[in-house]
Amino acid sequence: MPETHPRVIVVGGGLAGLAACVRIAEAGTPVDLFSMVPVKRSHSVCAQGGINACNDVARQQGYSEWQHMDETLIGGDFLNHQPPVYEMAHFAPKIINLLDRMGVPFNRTSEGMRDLRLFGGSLFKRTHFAGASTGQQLLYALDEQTRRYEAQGKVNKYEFWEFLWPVTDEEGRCKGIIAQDMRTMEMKAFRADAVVMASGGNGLIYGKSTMSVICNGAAAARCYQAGADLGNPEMIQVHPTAIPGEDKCRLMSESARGEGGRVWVPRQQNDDRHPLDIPEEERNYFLEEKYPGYGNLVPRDIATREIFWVCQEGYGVGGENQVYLDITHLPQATKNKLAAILEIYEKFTGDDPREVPMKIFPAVHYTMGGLYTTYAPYDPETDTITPASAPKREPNQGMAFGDPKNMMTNVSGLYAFGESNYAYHGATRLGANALLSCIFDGLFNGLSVANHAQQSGAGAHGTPAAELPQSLYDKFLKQEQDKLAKITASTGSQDPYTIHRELGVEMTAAATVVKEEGRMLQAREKLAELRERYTDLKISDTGHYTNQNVSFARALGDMLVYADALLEASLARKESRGSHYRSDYPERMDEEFHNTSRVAFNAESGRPDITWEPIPSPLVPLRARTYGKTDVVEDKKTQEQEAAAS
Amino acid sequence: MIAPNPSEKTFLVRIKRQDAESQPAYWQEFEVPVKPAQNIISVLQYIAANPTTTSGEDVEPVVWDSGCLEEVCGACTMVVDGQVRQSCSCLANEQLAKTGKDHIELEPMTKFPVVRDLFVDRQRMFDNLKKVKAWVPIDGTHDLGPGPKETPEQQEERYAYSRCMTCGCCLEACPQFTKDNTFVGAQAIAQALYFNQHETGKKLKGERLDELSGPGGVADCGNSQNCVKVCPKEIPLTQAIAKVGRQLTVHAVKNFFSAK
Amino acid sequence: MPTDRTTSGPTATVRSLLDDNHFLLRRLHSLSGIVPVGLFVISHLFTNAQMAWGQDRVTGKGDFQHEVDFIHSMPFLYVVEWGLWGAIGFHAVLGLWYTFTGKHNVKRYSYADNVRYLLQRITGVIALVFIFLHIATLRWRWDLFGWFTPFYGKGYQNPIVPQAFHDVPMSLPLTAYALQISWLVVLLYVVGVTASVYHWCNGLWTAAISWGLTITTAGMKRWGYVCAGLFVALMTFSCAAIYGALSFDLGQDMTDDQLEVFELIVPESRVPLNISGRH
Ligand SMILES: Cc1cc2nc3c(=O)[nH]c(=O)nc-3n(C[C@H](O)[C@H](O)[C@H](O)COP(=O)(O)OP(=O)(O)OC[C@H]3O[C@@H](n4cnc5c(N)ncnc54)[C@H](O)[C@@H]3O)c2cc1C
Ligand code: SF4
Ligand code: SF4
Ligand code: FES
Repeated sequence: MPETHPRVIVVGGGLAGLAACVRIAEAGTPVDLFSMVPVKRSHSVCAQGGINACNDVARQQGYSEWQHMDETLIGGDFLNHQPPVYEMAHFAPKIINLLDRMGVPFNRTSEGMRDLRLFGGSLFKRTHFAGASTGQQLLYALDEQTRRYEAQGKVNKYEFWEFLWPVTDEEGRCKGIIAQDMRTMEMKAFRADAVVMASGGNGLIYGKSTMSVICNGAAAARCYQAGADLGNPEMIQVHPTAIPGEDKCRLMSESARGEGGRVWVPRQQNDDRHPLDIPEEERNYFLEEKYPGYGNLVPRDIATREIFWVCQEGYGVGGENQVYLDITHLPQATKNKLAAILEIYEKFTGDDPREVPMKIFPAVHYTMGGLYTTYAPYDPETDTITPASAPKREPNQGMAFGDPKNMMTNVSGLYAFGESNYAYHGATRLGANALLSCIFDGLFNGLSVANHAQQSGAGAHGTPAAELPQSLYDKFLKQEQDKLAKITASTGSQDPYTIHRELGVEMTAAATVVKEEGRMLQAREKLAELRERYTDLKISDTGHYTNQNVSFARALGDMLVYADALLEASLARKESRGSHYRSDYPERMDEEFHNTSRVAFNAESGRPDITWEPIPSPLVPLRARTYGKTDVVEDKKTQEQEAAAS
Repeated sequence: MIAPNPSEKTFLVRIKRQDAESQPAYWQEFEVPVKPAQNIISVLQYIAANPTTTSGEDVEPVVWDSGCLEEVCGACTMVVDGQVRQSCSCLANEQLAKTGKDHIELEPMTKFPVVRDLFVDRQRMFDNLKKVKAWVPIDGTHDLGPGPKETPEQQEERYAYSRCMTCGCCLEACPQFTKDNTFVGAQAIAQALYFNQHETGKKLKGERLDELSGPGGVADCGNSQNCVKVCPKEIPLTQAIAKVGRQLTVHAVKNFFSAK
Repeated sequence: MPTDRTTSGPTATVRSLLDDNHFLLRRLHSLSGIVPVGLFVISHLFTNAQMAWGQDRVTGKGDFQHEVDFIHSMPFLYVVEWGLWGAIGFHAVLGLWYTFTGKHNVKRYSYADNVRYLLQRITGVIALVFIFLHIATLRWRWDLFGWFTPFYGKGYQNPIVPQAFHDVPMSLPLTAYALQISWLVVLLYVVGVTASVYHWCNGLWTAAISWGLTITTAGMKRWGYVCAGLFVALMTFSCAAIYGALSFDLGQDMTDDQLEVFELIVPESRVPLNISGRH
């Protein structure tokens, strides 16, 4: 491999990673791209709903980028920093245009314009979509552009390579990574003047989620253990209706309820009769009973909690975590309208939802928290980008374009983009905002990375990676080789898959929909037990070739560490905000907790240290987050459209 | 380890295993308890946690490839009872009912080098995308306004092609695509067409057609039309082959009269 | 890794020649199958079908003989013939090469279209063997194990036939004899002709896709009906021809002149001639 200076490494080939590659390669810096799967198979393919951006039609109806920012902030319950969100909302229309130029088959109006749909959290149509597979289409478009740079030799792909550890120099600057080929098991050190982590979410900590099997959060957890802090790790989004499966939970669109689907459980616990044999009076339509006004159309978070509670009390269907979502009574025409989503259910469960009520349960869906990152707020004094003829922005309206600080973690030269970055969504993510934040990170902040890499070698930025002694890299390589050797040689009694299953069950019960101190303390014990058992692993594959058993066991260790941070931050945040609902502290408490929970790994104790970092509100003052209770009344249509919001 | 409980209903899974590309293949059989709505991935997960064959031998867990588990990433493609498909969307019960057998047979795809067990290397497909320049040659990421307009009909047609998840089913079932020839197969042909149909993508049409007129190009298709039948995304592959055939005919005639 | 194949030695030049002209060769392959060979086969089968009408008992003339005479009177017959040979040879060599680069899988994927694909390759080989035998015996007059018989359109074409009989039409009797020698020959003809006709019609169907004439599934289907129609028509001709050849009674239906010539050319007839009661 040619060791040119400067060089950038991108870990992750989802939307965020690929957008970063394209932008950095375009800036003339060669990129080495690492991904556990061929990038085209990254988790971003799963997104269905769409991508948000202000547009000409909405603008003429009174919508604006500012409002998009405002929705994102209130959606996130003001836990997000305002300048980056400002920048993202204002940059969004450019992203859509660019994707359009790249050939994304956005749905069209009869005039040939890009079509728009209504999505949760807004009264304006601001969501662009490509059929029912927007994420797939966007990912492919960026994959194609990356391939173009690859063909020109500007991007070097390492697919089926797993990121293991960031390499840091004496002063703690990130100067490369250790990675391993998952097929040949070859482990190598790679030099770089900047490293971007775009490794996605961590749903696998919960065992089963709506995410792909590769979303284990291990990459972020490794950076965390290497000194990069986490931000708001307690913020996890749960989707109310997912299809629980043996292997994963698949999203069930909310349109099933929008069209008249009813949620119920048998009144009698463990009733093993066929659902259609259970007479009406023996069914508990708990949402309709508790909320006679809205019935099954209560807002997402309420539905999520109620379903969760009913199962906690032991009324779940078959004693398990599942309730019926029944559309069997609906007229044929309505069933036809729902055909696309009903077919998904049928494909993966084998049951026909037209004949048998569907079984659903909330599932972990998105990781708002992630690696803690910084940014340089926009300052008109130093702005050199805005043309002289155009008015400058006010201070804090956005970020300083190209500033190396943008979305850099507290480890110099280590960046976090996409779902692994905590920056944009605060305490809840709005539907169709994730795809936006991923691409925004890559395209807008990619330049910051290139600039940082360019500067390395000058002054405070240390020696260029190409000139650092090999011994530095060998040291980290040895650390990882030893770790692997230790795992491979374990002859204990604990099966990693069993530990993982128990971790998932515990985390799902203690730290998802409803969090409560007692239960979380119990989970703390359980995690300690699992960490203990983890030291006594039983490895059934001791081979040195494509050993998935060992790779999984290694990642499990990192998941345990991440879970610990997540749980501790959940315990420490004694308030309810956005997706973080504490039954023992049901109110939002701005005085104490309008703060980022910044979690550092304590290498000595191996446990998290939490500090609270205040969040400035330079653009929008805090206000109560009430829309959740009103959007159903105000606009039932919004609710229905939210269906596709995923 | 939890051995299958004797009172539980079980079925057999026969897996064709291979330790590496250069190693010989062998079969192993596992007994798996029947669960409702259990797909092949959960069967493999069960075997990974309980890697004991029916003859009581403790073996190394089976290696396989997967990602989304929703049939959109294409990773988990394998040969199930002789037919190529995604294993995540294959329910064990339905498969047993379909074949009427008491066991399910899993094999890696046969047209790609085996990495290990059910895990194959489909790099050739990605290389082919490079060959046919499957991208839109945009000027750069700067803000240069919207892309070309297109009618809903054009969008619909392009959308159909854009759903290709590089799974390789079409190549696995193609009699003309073999491990040791250079045929690019339906996937790359359809992708070339996808970009030839885009207003800006068209700029590379000539280069794509040149590539597809060479060895391994579209003329190597033998029109067996298996590809279109096994494509899980129902991509109109034979239509793509015909359209590219037409573009090539026109291209060749044009070249003949205008080449220098 | 992209699969880089670097060959060296003399095969490399052949290989690169093939590679450089890949598209042209493929299209010529398609064209050579359809146009020269195909058109010839159609007209040939059409000609042969005339056998069904038999011949004039007195003059020995008939539509079949008329057509054969026409062909034999064509100027540059050899050029046409060699052209055809060239086309068939080219089509066959490339076709065989292509056949062996594929790997059929009907056992796993038993779709009708896949069976059709396999049949195209099998029938191609059968047709090639059949056409060779057919030409070798009837045209080049090879006497293969006595099973096949030399074919002469008219008496003069055989040097042993005396001047007086030079004008005697012999097409029908000799063709009839050729088929009547053994039921195995009949079988060979039935299989060979069916294979050839299938190969041509199916080739016509797939060529429309390859050249980009039929695009949509519906279009392919419609063209499929046309090709199937052609298949039926050509098979009808073929059946008529075979019926004509088999129903010709060598003992009774030949004119005296024909019988004379016949006995000269075929001194030891393998078909018993029942000449009792000839008028
Ligand atoms: C079912 C579903 C539907 C969704 N729908 C929408 C929607 O409609 N709109 C919306 O805006 N958002 C949606 N989201 C959210 C959105 O899809 C994700 O947030 C987004 O795709 C994340 O992209 P990413 O680039 O950050 O990471 P990912 O796409 O997850 O990519 C992560 C990359 O990192 C690599 N990686 C991870 N770990 C390692 C390692 N250790 N070493 C090397 N590489 C590694 C992986 O190989 C992968 O390439 C949805 C999510 C789900 C689950
Ligand atoms: S139609 Fe062509 S590409 Fe498709 S399976 Fe048949 S030979 Fe392969
Ligand atoms: S065309 Fe269909 S079968 Fe072929 S790779 Fe794409 S999705 Fe798979
Ligand atoms: S795992 Fe993605 S298609 Fe099956």
